[in-house]
Amino acid sequence: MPWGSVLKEALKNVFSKSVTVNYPVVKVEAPNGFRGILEFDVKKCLGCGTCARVCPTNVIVMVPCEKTRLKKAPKFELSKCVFCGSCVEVCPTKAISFSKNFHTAVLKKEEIGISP
Amino acid sequence: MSVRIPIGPIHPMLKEPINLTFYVEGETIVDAEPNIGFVHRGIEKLAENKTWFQNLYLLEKVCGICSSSHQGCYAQGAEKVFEVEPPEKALFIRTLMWELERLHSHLLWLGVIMHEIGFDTLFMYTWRDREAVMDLVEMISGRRVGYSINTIGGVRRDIDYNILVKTIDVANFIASRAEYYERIVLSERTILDRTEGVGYLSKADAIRLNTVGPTARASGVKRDVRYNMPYAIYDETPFDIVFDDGCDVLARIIVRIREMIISAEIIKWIVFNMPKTGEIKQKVTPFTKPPENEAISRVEAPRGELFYYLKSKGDLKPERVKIRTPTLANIVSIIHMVKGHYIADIPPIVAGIDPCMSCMDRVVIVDVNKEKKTVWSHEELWRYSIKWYKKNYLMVREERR
Repeated sequence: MPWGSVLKEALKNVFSKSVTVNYPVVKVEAPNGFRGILEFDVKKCLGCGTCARVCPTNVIVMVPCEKTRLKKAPKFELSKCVFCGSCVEVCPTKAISFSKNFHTAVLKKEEIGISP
Repeated sequence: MSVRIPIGPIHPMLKEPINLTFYVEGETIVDAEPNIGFVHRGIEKLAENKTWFQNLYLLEKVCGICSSSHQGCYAQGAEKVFEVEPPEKALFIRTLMWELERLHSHLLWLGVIMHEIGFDTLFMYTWRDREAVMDLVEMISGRRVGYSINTIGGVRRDIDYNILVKTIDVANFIASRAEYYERIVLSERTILDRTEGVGYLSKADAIRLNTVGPTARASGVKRDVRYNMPYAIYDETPFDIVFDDGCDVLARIIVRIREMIISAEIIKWIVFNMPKTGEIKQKVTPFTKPPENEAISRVEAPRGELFYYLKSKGDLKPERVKIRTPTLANIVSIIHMVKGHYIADIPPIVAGIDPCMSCMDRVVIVDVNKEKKTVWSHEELWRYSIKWYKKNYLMVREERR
């Protein structure tokens, strides 16, 4: 039995294009339907608080807010978010949605929160 | 009432600590003792404090690689508790995710075992090929890891026509690569020297120790939940159970590679037979209360049989969630596999059961004659094994003949 059975494949790969992407320099586009950082539109929000009740990691806390009908709005602490999408699924007015942004690295965790 | 502290389900996982004590005489191992339970996260208890729907996303985090198996198994059990029947299309999508997960898990494992025996070239190739599957699951579910595709009463997302076409391409690509890897593994002298006859576990031992999954099938035991106790759509799916009588690490590699080919076939069957229209989930909301009920659920995860027990007392939260992961069933077999082998054979043997734990955190070696105890990190053991085999491979080859 021979040594070096992968030699042919290895030589082929030496001359082919690199499969890795030089990420911070080359921008990477997320596919459609990607579950990125949450986006919140306070104009659509009713203030019902269903999102806060279904969230598995207690990301969402309802705080007083004058802009919504029920005078309450969700405050997102996104450093805890697991991107499950429960809040997006249950929101009756589609006020919460996913963005394609996956850059969650920040210096202070308050930087990626959303307050109404 | 007595309090019982549960061990598990978390310990047998990738990149997590386990303590193995080996008793050696010279180079030969005479006994081994695995100590598990270092990263007990208390997920079972936490699951009792969260609602049925919140647990879907908690139990997905039991394992990063087989997250869909865990979530799907829980959802399958919870459907029995809620007494709802998921629509047929949902079962097709769920099974598709399970099979895609098996593909990328086996490719990952193949890379890890090649790395353990020092064949890093093949490690790079398998992980590169794995990216095709990872990109596909990202397109289907929106995330590379933690797909969250299952819910109680069905699945959360429908699959696009374009993605189904891509799925066929990926299945064909992986099948062709798996055939190539099979050819390499069976012909490359470097791999055969390190895996042939290593980690022998006889069929009788495999049955006695209740091994599951590819570890059992590599010892000639026909044990596959998909085959023996069909769930979801596996009773309709035509596929053959893969098993090998080699009983060694080589057989475990071959079983997993052939399983990838079978998985690719199942994926193609699913795509061609998936209902084009229809509901994807039943109307169960996060605020639906289940009746007083209990259920068990089994799934063939990439590593073997995964078992869930769920109990409800008619509340929004489950009363008990019990999980048994496949690695817990397989971890004892390591003791029998390493006996009589060399220290240098420990990495491929331990990695051979796919222990959801890429590194033995720390290995304690006790020399029976010298009564000296040394603690090695996995890195040191890996380097030692490669160095030792470089020096002694001729002797080992003679001996095995």
